[in-house]
Amino acid sequence: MLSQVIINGIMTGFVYALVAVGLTLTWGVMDIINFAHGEFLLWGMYAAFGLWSLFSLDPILSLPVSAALIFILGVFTYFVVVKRVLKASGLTALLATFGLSMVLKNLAQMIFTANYKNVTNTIFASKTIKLGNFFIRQDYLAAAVGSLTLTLLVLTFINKTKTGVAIKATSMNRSTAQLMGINTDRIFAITFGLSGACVGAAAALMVPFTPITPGSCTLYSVLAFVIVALGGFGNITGALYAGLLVGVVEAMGGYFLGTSFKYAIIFLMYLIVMQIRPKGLFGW
Amino acid sequence: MLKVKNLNTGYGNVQVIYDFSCEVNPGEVVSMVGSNGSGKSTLLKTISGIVRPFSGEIEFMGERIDRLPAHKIVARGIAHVPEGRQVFGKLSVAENLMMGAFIVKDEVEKKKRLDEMFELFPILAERSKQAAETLSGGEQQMLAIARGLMSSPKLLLVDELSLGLAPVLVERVLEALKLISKQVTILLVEQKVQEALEIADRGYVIQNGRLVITGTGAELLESEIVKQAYMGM
Ligand SMILES: Nc1ncnc2c1ncn2[C@@H]1O[C@H](COP(=O)(O)OP(=O)(O)OP(=O)(O)O)[C@@H](O)[C@H]1O
Ligand SMILES: [Mg+2]
Repeated sequence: MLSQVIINGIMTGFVYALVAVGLTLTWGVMDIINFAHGEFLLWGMYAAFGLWSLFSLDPILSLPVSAALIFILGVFTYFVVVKRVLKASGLTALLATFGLSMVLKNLAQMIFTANYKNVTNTIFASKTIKLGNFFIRQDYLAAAVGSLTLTLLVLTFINKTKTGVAIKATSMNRSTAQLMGINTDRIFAITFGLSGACVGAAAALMVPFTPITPGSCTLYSVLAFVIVALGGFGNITGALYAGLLVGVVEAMGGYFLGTSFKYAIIFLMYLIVMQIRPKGLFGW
Repeated sequence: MLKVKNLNTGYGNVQVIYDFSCEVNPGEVVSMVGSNGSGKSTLLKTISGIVRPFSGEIEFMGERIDRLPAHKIVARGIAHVPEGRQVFGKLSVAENLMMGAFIVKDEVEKKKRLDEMFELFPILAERSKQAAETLSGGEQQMLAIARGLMSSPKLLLVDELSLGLAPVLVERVLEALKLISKQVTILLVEQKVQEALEIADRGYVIQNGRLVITGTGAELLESEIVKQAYMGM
């Protein structure tokens, strides 16, 4: 029974990791805390929901569309909100994205109401695979495999492509990157878009088993912040490991202490780790 | 090749450079010397577009560049090796060099230049997979110069080549620069006045953001101002 719980935790963890990879891109690379990250996820879920209810598109199939839409939302956010405050001091960028998060959340509430929306009858819904003594839900498994694949794809993009390495260079030294002929404005826009695409895809993978309501995004946002901090800012592999850790701790906390305590355990773990290793478990 | 006319520049509302004019001709090595805080780095940063000028003109190959963003100036053929090396520490030596060739689209051409740099600085070939931050100061300086050359610039701006290097290394890096100057025009900024003027065709002395004296390297080394102010004679 416990191992069944751990397996479910791992599968959720992969999805958390993908959401956190999106956040670590903007946070670690651009040094911008995007407070609207959870709302990006929310809008990704509504995008998947909309495509499902209007065109009967299964979220798995419409994933590229959800990802693309939130990519655009990310790029838009950079040019309209973040770019203007990039040079401003201290908390300005943070407050600007906080403002955006309020707008996005309330807009969602206005359009979709606060009622829970559910995407049902999806390809993998209520099917399981029996593996030895374990039952694995197919929708969880699809979300886990999809998230892992996309996380590895982002990792490869950042490490192996010219644009990816330019993103890293820009994060290390903005003005020197410009001296290399890198258009850092464009790099920032791409990074914000990529961050959006990660949550847009994660949203599509989550909706088959996650009821959607505007209030839920805060929790995912906070979880993503915890995972990024645990994994080390800007560290994609770190976010992957930390996502798995949080998924497992959440599942075990729920199992041993009851659902109402599972997040308390995560935040307790976060506080302890930050005391011992302020740069995160896997940070440089 | 490069013409700076009546340039006023600085940061925000702090003016650093006043009414400065200078010129670099094709094939020359020009040295810009002056003491700490006189505005040498600010001048280079303004030429390469990292700092916006207040007024005045900067012309390169007959065209105004003083309103262009930095990345477009690189594409015109100016590479800037910034003060303090500024290598991308977590990237490998090879990745740093590839970033230097960011504007080059042709992969074959890039590879060719990489090999040229490895020939010029064999130590970089040995360390190509290593993170740049693990290199010694002198090796990082060589990497910074090689990275600047990767875009095949027409004009290379070099800021404080000698900073933090042992005298032996300064000589070795200057040696390399001399070799490079056969193919690339160089504008060099230095505090080590003697060495800088010795390898220069012409030089400018800058004090408190203003031009004090200009002439050939040899003339400046003989001038009273330089002798008194910089060589303690
Ligand atoms: N980013 C900045 N913002 C405001 N003032 C600056 C900035 N960078 C430099 N300054 C000021 O501009 C003046 C000239 O600095 P600059 O770096 O150009 O001098 P320098 O001649 O290169 O000196 P050094 O030989 O020490 O490198 C200094 O008074 C410095 O404090
Ligand atoms: Mg300087």
